[in-house]
Amino acid sequence: MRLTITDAFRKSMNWLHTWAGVTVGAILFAIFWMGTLSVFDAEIDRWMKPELRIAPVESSIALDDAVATIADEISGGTSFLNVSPPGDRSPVISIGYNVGDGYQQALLDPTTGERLTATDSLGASGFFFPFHFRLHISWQGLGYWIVGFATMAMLVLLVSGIFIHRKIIQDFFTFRPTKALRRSTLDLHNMTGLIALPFHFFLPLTGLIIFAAVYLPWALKVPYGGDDKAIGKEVYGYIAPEPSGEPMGPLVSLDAVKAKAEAAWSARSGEQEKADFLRIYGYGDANAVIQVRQVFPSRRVEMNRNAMTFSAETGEVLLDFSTTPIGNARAWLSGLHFIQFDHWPLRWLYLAAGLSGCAMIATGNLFWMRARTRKREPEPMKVRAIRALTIGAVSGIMASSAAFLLANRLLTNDVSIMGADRSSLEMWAFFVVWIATFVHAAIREGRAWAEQSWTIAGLCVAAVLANWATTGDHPIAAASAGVWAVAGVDLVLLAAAGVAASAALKLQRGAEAGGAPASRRRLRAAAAAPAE
Amino acid sequence: MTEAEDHTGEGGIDIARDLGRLLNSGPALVVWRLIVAILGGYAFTSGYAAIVGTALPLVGVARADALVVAMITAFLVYATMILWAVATKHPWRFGGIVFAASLLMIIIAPRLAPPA
Repeated sequence: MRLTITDAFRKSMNWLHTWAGVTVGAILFAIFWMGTLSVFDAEIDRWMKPELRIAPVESSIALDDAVATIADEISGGTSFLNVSPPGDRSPVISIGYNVGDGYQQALLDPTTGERLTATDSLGASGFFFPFHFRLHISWQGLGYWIVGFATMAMLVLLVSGIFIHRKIIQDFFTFRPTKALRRSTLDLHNMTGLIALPFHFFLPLTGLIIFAAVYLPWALKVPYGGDDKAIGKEVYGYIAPEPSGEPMGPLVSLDAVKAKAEAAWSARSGEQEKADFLRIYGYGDANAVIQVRQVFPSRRVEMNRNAMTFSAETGEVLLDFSTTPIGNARAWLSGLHFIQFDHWPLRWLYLAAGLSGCAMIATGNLFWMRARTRKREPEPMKVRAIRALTIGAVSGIMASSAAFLLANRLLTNDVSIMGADRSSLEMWAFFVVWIATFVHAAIREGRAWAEQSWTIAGLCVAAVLANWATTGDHPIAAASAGVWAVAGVDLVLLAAAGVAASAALKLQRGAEAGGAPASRRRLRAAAAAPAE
Repeated sequence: MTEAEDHTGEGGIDIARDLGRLLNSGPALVVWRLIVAILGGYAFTSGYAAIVGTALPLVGVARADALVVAMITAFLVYATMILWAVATKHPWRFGGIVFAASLLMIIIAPRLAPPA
C-alpha cells in the first residue's frame, strides 16, 4: 500500500477536521480551559482559602505529632489515613481520613501544629481539576468517557489539521490581522495551533495514557488474567493488606519510615530524594501497612517513581518499588502532564500554551461559522446554533469561572440556601452563570461576545476587590508578605479583566462601524468583480 | 481548486453531501466509515493492547513493562486507525480487515496470558 498525500486524502482530512472540530469543540474548550486553570491549582486554592495563606516554611513539626492531634477522631478506626508533609506550593500539613460520613481532612500549621479551619470550598483542586478530566459527571464514569472521546478527537484533529496544509511553514508565518476577518481568523487558528504544537499533541496523548486503565479496562487486565492486585503491585507499587481482625498495636514512627525510604531512594539515585505522601491502609488492624510515596518530586519530571511499603506494626519493609526504565517512561509522560515539579517558567509556559489551545479551538469554531455566513443573507440555523454554543463554551465558561471565584469571596461560612452549604453554593454560582451565558448568547446572538467580555472584566475586577475587602490581602500586601500565590492570582485576574475589556471595546467598535472593515472591503471587491 | 477554497469549504459543507461527492457514494458509506473509525478503531486498539501485553512477556519482557508499552502506544494506534478509516479508498474492505483482525487479537490474547 502506497501512502502519498493526494488531493483526495487532503479532502478527507479536511472533512474529518471540520466535523470533529465542530462536534467536540465546545467540550474540548472546557477541558482545555479547566486544565489551564489547574496548572495553578495550588495557588488558586490558597486564594480561595485565606486561612492557608502561609508563607512556605523550611522545617515543620514531626508527622507523628501531627497525627497525634487527630488521634481522638480516628480512635474508632478509619479505612485509610493520608499524611502529606508541607510543600512549597501547599505549605500546610494535610491529613486525610475516613470516619463516619466519608472523607475528612485536617489541615495543620506546619510550625505550630495548630489545627487550621479552612474555608469550606472545593477550591481549584476540588472543582477546576476534576472538571478537567471528568466534567463533574460521576454517573457510571460517563464524564471520563466523554473527556476521553473528546481527547481522542483532539489527537485526530491535530494530525488532520497538519495534513490539510500544503505549506505548513508558510502558514505559520502568515498572520493578516488587517485582511478579511475570515482570513485573519484562520491565520490565528493556524498560528495558535502550530506555536505550541508539541504541547497540543503531548497533553492530550499523556492525558489518555494517565487514564489508560479506565479507557481500556478489558485489554489492560488481560496480561494479568484480570488480577488487579498483581497489577497494583507490579505496575504501580501498591499493596493492599488483608484485614487480620486483630486490633493494631502502637504505630511505628511515620517520620522514621519516611526517613528510611528517603535514605534508600537517595542512595539509589545519588540525589536528595524526598517523600511527599504517606498513606496507612487498614488503620486500626494489625495488618495495616504504611506506604511512603514520592508522588511529585520537585527536581524531576517523573512522578510516582518510588514507593516503599512498611508494616505499620513492625516497620518491616514489605515492598520496595521503583519504576523500571520502561515504567519510568510512563512516569515521565504522566509527570509531563501534571507539571507538579519545581519549574516556574515552565508552569507559566503551560499557562500560555493552554490559552493558545483555547484560542485555537475558539477560532476554529469561529472560522466554521464565518465560512457559512453570506452577506445580505439570513444566517442558517446551524450557524446560529453553533454560535450560541461557542459563545457559551468560550466566553461563558470564562465568566462562570470568575463568578466561582467571586462567589467564594462573597459567601460566608454560615450561609445556607435550600440546604446547600458554602462549597455547594460556589458550585451553583458557576453552573447558574454558565447556563445563563448560553441563554444570553442564544438571545443576543453576535452581540453576546462583547457583552460577555464586559461581564468577564467586571467579575475579575470584582473578585480582586472582594479578596481585598474580605482578607485585606491586596496584591502589594500579599507580595510583600511573601504569599506570591495570592498576589499572582490577583494580578492574573486583573490582566484577564484588561484583555476582556479591550476585546469588548474592539468588538463594539467593529459593530458600530457597520460590521468589520473586512466585510466592507469584501463588498467592494465583490462590486468590482461580480463574477468572483 | 485553490488552497483557500480547499479549507474554507466554499459552498457550505453538508455532512452527507460533501463526503458523498468526495467518495461518489451515499451517506451509508459515511456512517460505515465512522463505525469503522470509532468502534473498529477501539476494538482494534483493545486487541492490540492485549496482544502486546501478553506477547512481549513470551520473548522475555517483564509483564509490568509489557503492560506499560501497551498503555503508552495504544492511543497512537487508535488515532492511526481513525485517520486511516476516514482516508482509505476502500472503506468496506478496510473495515472488514479491521474488525476481523480485532476479533482475532481479542480471541488470541487471553490464551497467551499466564493463568492468574
